[in-house]
Amino acid sequence: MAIRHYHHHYHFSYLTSKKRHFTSLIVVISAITLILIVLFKFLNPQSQVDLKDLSYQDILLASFNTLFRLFVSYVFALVLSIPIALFITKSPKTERIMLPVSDIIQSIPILAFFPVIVLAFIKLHAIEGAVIFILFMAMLWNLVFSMIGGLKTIPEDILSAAKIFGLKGFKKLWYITIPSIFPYIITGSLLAWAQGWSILIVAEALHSYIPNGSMSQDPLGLGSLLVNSFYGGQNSVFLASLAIMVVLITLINFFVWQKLLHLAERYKFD
Amino acid sequence: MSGKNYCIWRKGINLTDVIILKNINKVYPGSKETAVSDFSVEVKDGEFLCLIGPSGCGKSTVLKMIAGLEKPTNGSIEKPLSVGMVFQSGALLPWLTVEENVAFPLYAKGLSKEKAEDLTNKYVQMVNLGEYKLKYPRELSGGQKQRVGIARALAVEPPVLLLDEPFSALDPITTDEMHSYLLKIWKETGKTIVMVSHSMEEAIILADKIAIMKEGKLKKIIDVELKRPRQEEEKNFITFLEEIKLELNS
Repeated sequence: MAIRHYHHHYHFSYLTSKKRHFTSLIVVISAITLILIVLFKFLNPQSQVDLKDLSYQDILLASFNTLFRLFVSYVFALVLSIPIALFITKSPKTERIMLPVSDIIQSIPILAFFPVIVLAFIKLHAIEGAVIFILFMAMLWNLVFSMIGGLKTIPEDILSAAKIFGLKGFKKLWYITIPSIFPYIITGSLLAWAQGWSILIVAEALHSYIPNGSMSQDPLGLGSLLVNSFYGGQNSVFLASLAIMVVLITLINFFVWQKLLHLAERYKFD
Repeated sequence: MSGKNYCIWRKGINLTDVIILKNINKVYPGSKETAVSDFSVEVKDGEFLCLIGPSGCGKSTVLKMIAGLEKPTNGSIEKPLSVGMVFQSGALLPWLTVEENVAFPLYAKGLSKEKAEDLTNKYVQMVNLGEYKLKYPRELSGGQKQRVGIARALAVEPPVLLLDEPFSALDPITTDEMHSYLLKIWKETGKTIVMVSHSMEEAIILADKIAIMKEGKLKKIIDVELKRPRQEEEKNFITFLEEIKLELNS
């Protein structure tokens, strides 16, 4: 039987059951274990796998690596996009100045920065940092512009009510602003992940941007496997990587985005 | 009511007057038009004032200034620090249930869970929405949404309740019901009420005092000395109606 639990404050409360709690527990523990494994692999990178002698485990690890990079980049982009969007829409004056500036910045291709950033990260011995930075930059603007759109659609009465209730700063952000733009955060996130997947083969195949670079410098991931197996003529690796990428995108769409898009309906104003 | 609850912008407040607006002018930034011109009114503790007038006459601007949402360009306003406001759209948060909508300003104010739940239950019951407390706004009718808005405004226990054309989007039958609800709540709580309306009949049915506005100016204040419940067919009702019409057409 469903038991009604309120999570934290009234905000974000929802009906849960013991079964859902148990499932959530397993999902969370599995996710933490996976993150720890991938993190461990990140901190203790193995020598680059031989494409001619690739095991299923290597492809699995490449998939987790890629998902982990995309996830970390997304979290950075999400966290940073909120203050950027709030700053741009802070007043008509800042909007007049910052909106065209942001538009110009986001239209500069990320690849224009690419060699410089990669070299800077390599100097710091942080290849992962380079990949995550490229993915982060690709994801950021989709989120920022979606949120700006959302912030401009919050009804005037809602903002007035917030003011009358004395909601300011973080409280206003938590109780009003974030939930009000939640549908826009979801659509922005969907676009950001799509952008992330599309730039993955460039972000992970770093060697081509390093002077005298070799494939062994590429971090293991689906993107680098796709590029390097294609150039190395390992068709089976190429097809396996492509198939896994398609399956992952489909699963994420089904289990994450579809659910969140459905949930977002509850957050839309009439 | 204790004096510390009051935001006193001018010394010498008369405690029987809860709201005093004196020579208010309002010009919106970037606009050449004066939205409100030399507007003065006093509202006594527990009184029901209705501001009426045609669209664009400045009545909502006056209400927003009382609410603290707008500042007057010049003139003085004395009002309680805390006010509750009911909006035309209801201004409910679609992601929260009825009880959560009523409770969230209380949590935001830092009230304890017990206190917030007590107040929420009290006012949800007062507007007869006890059985709807787990529903979301999209599952409610227009009248029910407005009742949630009233409960939310009352839950913070303000001395003054402001209503900005709260029933203008409702059908006539629901509007009649809402009038009864509002009068019942007013009687039970003894709040001072300031309401904006474009309906002359609504103003006569509800208010003690009607402030007629036209082109940003106060034309006349009428004391409605009629017993409640008031019927539109009554002779005196029609006399008041004629008086308002005369003022608005002059």
